[in-house]
Amino acid sequence: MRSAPGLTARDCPSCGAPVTFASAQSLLAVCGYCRATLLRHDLDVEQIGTMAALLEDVTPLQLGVEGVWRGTHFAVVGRLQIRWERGRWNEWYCVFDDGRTGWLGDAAGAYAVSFEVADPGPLPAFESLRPGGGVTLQGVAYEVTDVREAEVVAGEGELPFRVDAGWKTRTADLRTATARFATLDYSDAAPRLYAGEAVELAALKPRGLREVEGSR
Amino acid sequence: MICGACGAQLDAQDPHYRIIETYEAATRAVTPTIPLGTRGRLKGETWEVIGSLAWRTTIEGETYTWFEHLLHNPAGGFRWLGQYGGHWTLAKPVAGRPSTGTALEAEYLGERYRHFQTATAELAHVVGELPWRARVGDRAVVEDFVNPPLVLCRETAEDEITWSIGEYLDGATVWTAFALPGAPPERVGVGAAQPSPFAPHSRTMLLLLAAFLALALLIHVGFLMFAQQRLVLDAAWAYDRRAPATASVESAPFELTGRSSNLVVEISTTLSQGWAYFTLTLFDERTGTTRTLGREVSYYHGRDSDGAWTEGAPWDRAWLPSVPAGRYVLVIEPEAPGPVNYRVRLTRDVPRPLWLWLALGLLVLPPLVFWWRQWRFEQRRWEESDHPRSGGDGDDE
Amino acid sequence: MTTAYGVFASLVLGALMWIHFTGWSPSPVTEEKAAPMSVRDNPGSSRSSYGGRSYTGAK
Repeated sequence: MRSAPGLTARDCPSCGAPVTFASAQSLLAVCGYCRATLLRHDLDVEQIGTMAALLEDVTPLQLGVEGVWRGTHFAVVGRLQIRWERGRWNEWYCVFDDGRTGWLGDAAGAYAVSFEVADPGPLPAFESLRPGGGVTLQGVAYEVTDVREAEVVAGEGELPFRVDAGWKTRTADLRTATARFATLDYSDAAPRLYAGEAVELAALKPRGLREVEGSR
Repeated sequence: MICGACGAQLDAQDPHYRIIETYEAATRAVTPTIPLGTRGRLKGETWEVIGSLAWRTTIEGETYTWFEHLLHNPAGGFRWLGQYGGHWTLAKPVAGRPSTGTALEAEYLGERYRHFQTATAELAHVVGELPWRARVGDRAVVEDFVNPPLVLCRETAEDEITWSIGEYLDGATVWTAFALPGAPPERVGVGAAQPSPFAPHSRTMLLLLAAFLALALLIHVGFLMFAQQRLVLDAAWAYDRRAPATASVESAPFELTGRSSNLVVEISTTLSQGWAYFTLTLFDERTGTTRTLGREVSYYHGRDSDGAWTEGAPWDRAWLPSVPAGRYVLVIEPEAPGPVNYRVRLTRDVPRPLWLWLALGLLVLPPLVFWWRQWRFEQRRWEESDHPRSGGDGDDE
Repeated sequence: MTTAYGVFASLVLGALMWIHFTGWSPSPVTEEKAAPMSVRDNPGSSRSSYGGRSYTGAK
């Protein structure tokens, strides 16, 4: 992986396999061999459980995929698989060469890159959001496109927060006419805002995609 | 996930594959037009049909069904291949967000789309593996906006709004792409997003029409400038039935020069409330050829309850075609009940205006036919929509 | 479609030029190219000096 700054290696306390953290911000890692959920401390890692199995997926993305977004190279280092009443999607945790970390949303062929907004200011209450409604955040007028109650199925790789299978989340997706994208995440007490843009997978010039039977 | 064999709906997310719903596929035998698993090549990528849906909507008491196939390519994502009435659309989700200024128009990426139809659709049948859970009975409000060959579609379900953009395809393209046997479903009427075979040529037709009309005018004016238009004979006589000598008169000989061209014969008389019949014979002194024509001149006028009226005119104009150069004499034999004075003028080589009018009329015909057919095409397109155009018998389907 | 119109228009314009050039007309003209049947059947045969009759019959 080219995104080497901050690359830290540890041994999995459960099976001894090497576990690497590509980002200093990652708090959690799932051992690639025994699926132990590991919480990171300053000097070592502590096993806090075992991650549930991921569901079979047809997404071409996988850990280790690299790409370029707006001229900045990035690598996919983690994943969350989330499901809701009528389907499921993936959120891929990515480390960018400029030190930032962000998310690549992957839902049935629709992709979006987004970054957490540090001080988003006051955010609307989840209950007030309706699909088709308008919300202005950070000076941008969005239209609400999805409002969902969802739950985490499983994770893999490294993640910036502590999360486990079955954790409930409430999210809302927002879009603009010019393909700008934002997500409001109401999992924690304090809602979070992630902002970015909708993208076509090919535009990210991905390398290392999974070969799925039937694709060419 | 739906079992393609027995029609049972399975929950792929449940590791125990609990059967959630079973329904009678036999009673509503709706088989997908393109079988599941078929692979084909569209728009430069390979796709596999992984799901098939049938939607139903009821408009003014009539139920309509259309079909959608879900196409999947792991690198390219998903596409919807929809079919209705033999018209196909290949659709994908839009990345941005179209804006709808009014309910009748949507705008996306600088293009305008006109509202075609809003309908509440219900999922009637679903087979295959979909990336989300689809249940028979699921409802969505579907709004279509067209800008042929593209169509923007907004689907509003309970908790989400999805926009997709589709492109019109004809059955032959789909059949070739998926190498399907037989023939695609017959096309009925004009599809909402079906590209007009006329629209791309409309402007050209107008330009061509203007150019040809101008050319016709130019040709006529050109001939007017260069034609001889020479008065070769201008003589007057008097006729009286009682004077036999006036029954046949002969002009002085005159020369016609240049190429073979026409000769305008103008007779003006002092007729009033009467008629006269003139037999004119043009003798070619060299070859002995004669050209004879008979012209009637009659003129009546009066006054009645509606005002003044006239019938006929005291003059006449005739055209002699293709008279070659030579030396000629004109003989005139009039007949009339009363005395009449008349004057005969012969002018050589005059471009006749009638031919210009005919040419202009003929030139205007094909564009008129073209535009009429274009209008009819669009009328048939909008017949099926929420906004049918006037001019038809107004019956909504 | 536009090429068909172009061909048609060319024909119409060509016909217009030809008609103006030759002075053609579908007018009801009776044209006779017969040689005179007798010396009396001459352009002046209808003159009054002939007796007021038009003599074009056979001898």
